[in-house]
Amino acid sequence: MSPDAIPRLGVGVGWRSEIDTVVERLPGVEWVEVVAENICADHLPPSLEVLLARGVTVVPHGVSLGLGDAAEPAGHRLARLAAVAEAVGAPLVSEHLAFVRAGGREAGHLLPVPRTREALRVVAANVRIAQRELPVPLALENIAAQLAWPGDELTEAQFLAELVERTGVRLLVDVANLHTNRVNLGVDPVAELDRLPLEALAYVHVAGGVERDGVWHDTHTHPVTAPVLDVLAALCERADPPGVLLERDGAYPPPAELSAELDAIRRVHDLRARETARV
Amino acid sequence: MSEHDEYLIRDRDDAELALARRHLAHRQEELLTALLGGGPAPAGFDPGQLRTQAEGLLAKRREIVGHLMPELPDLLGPDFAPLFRRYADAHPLAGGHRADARAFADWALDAAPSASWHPALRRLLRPAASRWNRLLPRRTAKSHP
Repeated sequence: MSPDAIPRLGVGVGWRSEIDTVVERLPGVEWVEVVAENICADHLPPSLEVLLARGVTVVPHGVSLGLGDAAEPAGHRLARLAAVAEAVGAPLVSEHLAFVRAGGREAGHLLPVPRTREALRVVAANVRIAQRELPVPLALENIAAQLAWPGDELTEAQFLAELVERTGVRLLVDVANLHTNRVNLGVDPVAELDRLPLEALAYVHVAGGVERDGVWHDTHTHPVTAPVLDVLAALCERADPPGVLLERDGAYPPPAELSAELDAIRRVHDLRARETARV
Repeated sequence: MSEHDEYLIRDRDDAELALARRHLAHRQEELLTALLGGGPAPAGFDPGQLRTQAEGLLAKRREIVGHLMPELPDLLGPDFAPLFRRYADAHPLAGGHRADARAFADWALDAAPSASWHPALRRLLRPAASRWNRLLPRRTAKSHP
């Protein structure tokens, strides 16, 4: 599918059942993302039905498919993700460049994949299998890492670029995760942005976190901070994201604060759009 | 190869891919075993990073349990985290998180019989044994769900 098929999403917020009515009433929410595993295709939450009836786009975001697992993605997980996508009429779905299980044990977390050319073959094969089974385009997200594999041959952005080239997969760029990797692993977010084929960008994640003892924790339960917005600005200098999504998973602030965070994101995006238009 | 590893090997590409999968599986299994406890740190990793990641996995598992059964952190208070660490060290995450929460709760009941919260936790987990049920007229025997 051509990059033109990437839909324009706008500014959105992560839909969570705990803040469902807040999301319904939040001004300026053009789309939402749902955690696919938390949605039953046969029984959509009433609040989500309200948003759908209003014409709000809903994008399922998977967290347990394991495209970076050594094994092929499981048929039942793919079928479930596809069912959710169909139930909400999603224009695309997203997942992660991560492994979540190995040796029959669940990690319960997104872990970085060893980035060798050999591992690239496996992940590319997994992505192709997923694309075959999914009714809509797939976007892959970069992750927040707290460890680096010895012997990595490619940076995360280079690995993603290879996947885009080999499979046509789209990108979900998480600027908070880029910041996390800057603090924890010394990876330069701007250098990574320059290595990404941003013409394949589907949307962007923005989230808050906190630094403790020199480690950045991508908690999604803290306000979005300036360094993360700076990475967003750098991205917007390079490409116009079809969508930007604020992720908040807990410690929900008052609606006005959520609204203010959306506004801050919109300001960064609009400012860059105006500046690049002038050039 | 185990039954989980059977891939249709039609040509050399398939064979190379299958080998790549095996190699990746080995590396990831080694790392995950180290992170979840029960295996040595694989060569070449920064020990500090491994520790941070392992703590992160434990914290996440504990967080999800606390989210699914908020009565547990509420009742156990400061005992919740240290007990969960002991439980997690001995019990890998097998089923879903709900099963994990229940299994931890049952384990905590056995692990800390003289804790101040023990009666409250017992009532929570085994309501059939509660005082009120004993006071009510006996119903025909039906196993508690």
